[in-house]
Amino acid sequence: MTAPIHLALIGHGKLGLALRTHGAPLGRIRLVQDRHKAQATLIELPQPERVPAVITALQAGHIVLCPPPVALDAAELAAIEQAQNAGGGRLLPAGEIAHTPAGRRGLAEMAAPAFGPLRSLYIAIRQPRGPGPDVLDSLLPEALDMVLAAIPDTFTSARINAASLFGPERDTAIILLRTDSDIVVTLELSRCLPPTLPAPGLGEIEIDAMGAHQAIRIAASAGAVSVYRDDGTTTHPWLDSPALAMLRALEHAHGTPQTAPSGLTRAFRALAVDGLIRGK
Amino acid sequence: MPARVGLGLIGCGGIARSAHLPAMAQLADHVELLATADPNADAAAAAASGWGAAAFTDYRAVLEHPGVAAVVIASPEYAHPGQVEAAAAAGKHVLCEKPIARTLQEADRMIAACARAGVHLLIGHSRRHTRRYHEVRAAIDRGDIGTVRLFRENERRPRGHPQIWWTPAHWTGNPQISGGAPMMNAIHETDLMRWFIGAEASSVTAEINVTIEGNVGVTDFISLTVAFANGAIGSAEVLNCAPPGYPAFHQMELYGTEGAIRARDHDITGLTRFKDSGADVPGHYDMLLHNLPAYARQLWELVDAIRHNRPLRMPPSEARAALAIALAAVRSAQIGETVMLSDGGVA
Repeated sequence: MTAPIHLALIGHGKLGLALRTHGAPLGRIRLVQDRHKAQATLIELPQPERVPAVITALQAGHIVLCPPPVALDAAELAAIEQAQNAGGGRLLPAGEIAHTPAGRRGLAEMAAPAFGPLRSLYIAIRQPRGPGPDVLDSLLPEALDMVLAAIPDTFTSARINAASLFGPERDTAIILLRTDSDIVVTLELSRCLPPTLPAPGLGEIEIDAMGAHQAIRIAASAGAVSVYRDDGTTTHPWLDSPALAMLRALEHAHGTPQTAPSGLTRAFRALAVDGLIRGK
Repeated sequence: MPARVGLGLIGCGGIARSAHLPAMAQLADHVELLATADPNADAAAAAASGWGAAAFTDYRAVLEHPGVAAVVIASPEYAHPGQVEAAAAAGKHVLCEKPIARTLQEADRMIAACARAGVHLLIGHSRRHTRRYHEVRAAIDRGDIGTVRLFRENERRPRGHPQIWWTPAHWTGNPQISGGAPMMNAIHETDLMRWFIGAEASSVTAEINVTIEGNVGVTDFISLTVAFANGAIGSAEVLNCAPPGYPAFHQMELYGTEGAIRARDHDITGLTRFKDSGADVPGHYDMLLHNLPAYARQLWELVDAIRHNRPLRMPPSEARAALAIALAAVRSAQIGETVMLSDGGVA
């Protein structure tokens, strides 16, 4: 029988809540209270406390799940990299959108040869109107994580049109990105939804990727993910939950050599694109 | 019943066949097509045949027809300035396809020529005449969603729609004469965002691209965002490379201080089978709002303005403003910077 993997939860967030309330063993994953007995850590802390917790877990050799942004500047990321190298741990990508059922399926479809080269990518994240942090701090990290999961290319330019449209804080940003292979990415991030759309307190995510031979559409109104083919047919496969997907990634990572780009690689890329957007 | 308004048709290609000629047929009690012109004699003859109209290869022959009171110009944009100015000089009212022209200087000349001649110049921003957007504008006017703060639209057209577009075999695919997606498609979005937001654009940021296989260099993709003088934002992503059956052809959304309006094709499109293994759409079963009534209403706007000697609801300066935003978007993409607008043009 395969040995269990003990997972510690640090902080309070959506993923931890989903795991705590699951109420049953999750594959090989067993939740533990004592982080010293864990081999993996899920960190959902606010930003000032996040980096030290990530560093401690990596130094202990843990596999670490941490929602983006893992760090806010190059110095923090360098410290995380040093901890990963020294402790033997591994930071995994933990963007929620990329691990949603639709996000995972969309990424798989985009990576398939039948999709053809990516031509354009559009991601909109809309939240209900109301007070909140700057959208570049609240909505951009998740959007960027999905962009970087989909596109391995280098980003060469970023331009932004952002404003406070519905309140005192910057609540809307339209961002245009371009890669060295001339893929154009459009990000529309806004706290613009009236209370009745789509359901009280909820937000919306919409992703449209155009390939040379297929298009992927992920949208609340589409149900989940839709694949549109050149022959005019469309499919909408059934899918499962994001938290379980992250745990499967964690299970897969435990005891196996790293093959895909690590969370650290994605974090470095995210920091670079974030810098392009903010003009740093 | 008042006498029918005599019409001429200049340019007898796809948009004339699919939209303007059917619109004339719908208004057959009010208009009469007397003359057509197209460099392709067969196209001119085919357009004329249903009406028993005269057919020419030179548009100037249409302008010389004594019974023609107004001309519908359905030619590519590079031909608009010369044809509109000639029509004005001949004392003919004009309904001219969008975009008004390729440059603001050309647009100014056309507007001035029609003003001098005392004839109407209606630019065919057909979406303003759809019932869908009439209702949207009325809702804004009623204050249903408060002040509009964010306009967004995706226009995602299928590849090969029509089959020949964006190929060197058609003028839309000729980089020497085609303005590409910014002029063909996005001119609608730049017009609508300005109309619905109700303010002038102050700056434009955009990216353009060539995405369709076989396209020899005409822009077929544009993503643009506009800052308006009242603080509102508009954005539009326009592409022409979607596979057949892709449902989100047009999705326009407005977010206001007190609500939102959504007008999205995919909300009314498609036939879906739900099975244990998932759902599938066995083909493309179109329920998009048909645009033909919009072209009839557009033509009626000109006919009614002629008959009652009243101003057009959409003066040509509105089309010029939409062009200014589209041109600024192209410029922004070319130089990689945000372009400021001032006094109706690039600052």
